[in-house]
Amino acid sequence: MTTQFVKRVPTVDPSLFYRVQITPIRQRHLLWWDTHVQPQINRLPHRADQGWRWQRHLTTARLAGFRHHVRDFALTTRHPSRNTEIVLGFVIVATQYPFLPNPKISSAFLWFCSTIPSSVLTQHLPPPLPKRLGLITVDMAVTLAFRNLWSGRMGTHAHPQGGRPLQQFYEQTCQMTRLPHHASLPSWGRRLFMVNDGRYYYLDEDAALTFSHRLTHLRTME
Amino acid sequence: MATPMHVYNDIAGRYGVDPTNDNAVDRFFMYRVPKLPKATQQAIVDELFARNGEPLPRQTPKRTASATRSINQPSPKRIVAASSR
Repeated sequence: MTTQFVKRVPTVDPSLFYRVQITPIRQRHLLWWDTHVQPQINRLPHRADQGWRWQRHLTTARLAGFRHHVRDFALTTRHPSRNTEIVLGFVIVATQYPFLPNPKISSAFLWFCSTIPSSVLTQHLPPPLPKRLGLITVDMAVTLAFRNLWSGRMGTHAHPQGGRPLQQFYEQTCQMTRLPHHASLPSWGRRLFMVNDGRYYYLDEDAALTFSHRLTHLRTME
Repeated sequence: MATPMHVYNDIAGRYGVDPTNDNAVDRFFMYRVPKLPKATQQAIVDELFARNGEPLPRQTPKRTASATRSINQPSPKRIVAASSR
């Protein structure tokens, strides 16, 4: 089950879920995001992805993809009555990257991710709204790490714009371990990041398995 | 950490694109860059990586939360019709 993406996301009502699809990012996803979501993110003061233009991240990722085996995904759902597609988030993952605490072995690296703000979601879906979208975007990287036989090992970086709350999300919600500030970063190939600013996090094999099991009930439709 | 958006504008500007036109810069990276010679593409990627974490050209307000921390758990007022159960 650890190699299956989630098929549904929870809502505040424990008996209700939204079906979701996880597919490569398409131009229609970017267009919808740039029209409905990113302008509102840009007005929110507390977002790490403020000012992002996903088309650029996607181009960079695809150009670098031959080296780092980069995959990109859109997390989408559909409006219950209108059947329109709603983009819940984007993820870009380097699926073969040196494991942060041990560069001799491989891992997945969560490079970029964004989730739709709830204030925007309320404009496009009726309540109860999908929740735990941040956790699910991290799970996409973990799942890819299991698929690649990296035993779920993954790493990521908490963007400085995210401040302490983003670190708390990785530490407390995702139960990740912070790479010591003095640790050097992998130098294999071209690095996605140049310096260790003390905001790198990872899940080792055991932690990844625990993390993945938390979402097992979302990997089936029942 | 994301390469700041202004780095993309700088690079596009060197290829004759108006760096103040974000949409033109987007189109440059979407359509033109993938058609450039591989060595040129690699040089662009190298610069994007090398300038990762570069400070913004102007001061921005301090931000204290994250993309993935903005998810709330609102109280539902009615049951969603999209239940998949």
